[in-house]
Amino acid sequence: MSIAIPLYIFLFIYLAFLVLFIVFFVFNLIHLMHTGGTTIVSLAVTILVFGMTAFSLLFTYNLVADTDWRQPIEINIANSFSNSY
Amino acid sequence: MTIGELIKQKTYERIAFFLHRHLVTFIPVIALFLILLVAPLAVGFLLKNFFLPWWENPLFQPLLVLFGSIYFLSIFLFFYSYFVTFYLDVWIVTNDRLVDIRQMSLFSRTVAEVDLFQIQDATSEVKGFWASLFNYGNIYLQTAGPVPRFVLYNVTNPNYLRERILDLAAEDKKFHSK
Repeated sequence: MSIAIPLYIFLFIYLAFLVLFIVFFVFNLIHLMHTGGTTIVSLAVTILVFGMTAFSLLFTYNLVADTDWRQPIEINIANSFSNSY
Repeated sequence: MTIGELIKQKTYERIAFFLHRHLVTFIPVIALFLILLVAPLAVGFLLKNFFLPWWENPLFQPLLVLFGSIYFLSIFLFFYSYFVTFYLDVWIVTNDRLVDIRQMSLFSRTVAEVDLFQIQDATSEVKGFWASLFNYGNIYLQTAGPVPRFVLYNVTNPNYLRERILDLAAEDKKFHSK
C-alpha cells in the first residue's frame, strides 16, 4: 500500500513555521523595547539575527524557486513496515 | 522606554549603576550557536557520500532545503531568544533602592526591589578561572526587607560594586535616621 503526499503540504508546513518564527522574533523585539533593553549591543545583535534570517530566506527561495510543488511523493507503507522487521 | 521610566524613577533619585551580566558569560552560547551553525556541513557530507540516491532525488532536494531552512531559522531564533533573556537580567542601583529584574525565560519575569537602608550585609564572590581573568562574579546582599536575599549574578567588578553599594546604603541609612 502506498500513499501519495503532494509536495506543497511541506511548503505549507514551512510557511506555518515562518509565521511562528515571525511571532517569536517580534515578541523578543517588543520585549527588548519595552524593558529598557534598547542599547547598541542589543541593536547589533538584532541586526545580526535579522541579517542572517534574511539571507537564509533569500537563499532558500533561490534553491526552491523552480520546484513544481504539485508533484506527489510516494510513500510505500507496506515496504516500510516489512523492512523494519 | 528609558531606564527611569522602567523603574518609575522618583524626582530625588539618581541612577548609580545599571548592571547586566558580564558579556563573557554569554560566550558558551555563542560557541554552541557556531557549532550548530556548522553541524549541517557534516550531515550534508554524510548524505552526499552514503545516501547518494536520496541526495540526487529531485523530490528529496526541495524537502532537504526546507528542512535546512527550518533548522537554521530555529537556531537563529534560539540564539536571539537566549540573548534577550540574558540581556534583560538587570540590576539597577540608585541612591535610594536596588531593583532586581530577572528574566527567567521569554514568558517569565520577576521584579523585586529593596530600599538601600535595609541592606544589612554584602558579600562579593569571584570564583573560577574566567571570572578571575575577566573580573566578574556574584554579589550577595542580605536585607531586612521582605525579600531577605538578593543576588547580582556575574556582574563586572563585584568587589568595587559591593563597596559602592554599602557606601550608598550607609548614606541612605543616615537620611532615614534623621
